[in-house]
Amino acid sequence: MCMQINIVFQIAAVGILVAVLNQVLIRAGREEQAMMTTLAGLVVVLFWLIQYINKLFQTVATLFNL
Amino acid sequence: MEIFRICATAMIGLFLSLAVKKESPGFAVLVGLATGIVIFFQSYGYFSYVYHCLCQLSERSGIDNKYFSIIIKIVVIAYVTQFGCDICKDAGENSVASKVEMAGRIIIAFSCMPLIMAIMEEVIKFL
Repeated sequence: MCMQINIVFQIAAVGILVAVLNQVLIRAGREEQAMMTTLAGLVVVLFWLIQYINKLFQTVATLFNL
Repeated sequence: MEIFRICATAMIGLFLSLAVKKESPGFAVLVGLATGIVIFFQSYGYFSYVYHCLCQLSERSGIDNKYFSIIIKIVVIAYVTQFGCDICKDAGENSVASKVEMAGRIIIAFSCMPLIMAIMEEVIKFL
């Protein structure tokens, strides 16, 4: 059950996308939307990671059959 | 060898995290967390093999299975606490990291209390 690395690439891609979007919105004079976009990106990535963290802790628990 | 792949994953995660750190520090921590999870799953096979060998050893040595499972539980608690503590330190929140560490120590002390009690009974019997 080898874990691919593409989850790291996806998160980095979302991070860069949000950063670029942030700069564009700031240049366009809409600081509030920029901050909202960053928060939205953070929340989306957190939801992805929650599943992986859950899988990690499940694996640790079943691995040592606790 | 597996270790080369793990180091490569760590390098990739490191550079992606640094690339994202300047604009949005939040994502850098998330990339670091994801890299940690990926590296754990890559070294997953070694954990299970070591655990099986330890199980066989403990059965052959005749030690009560209850004590061995307590030891394994403590190892797992220590690993998870270390995982959370390092993520907090990575993000720069040292106070949260020390709280997690303290909670981990208390849970470990809690779970090895039966062992200490058992030892005390033995010692008292001798006296």
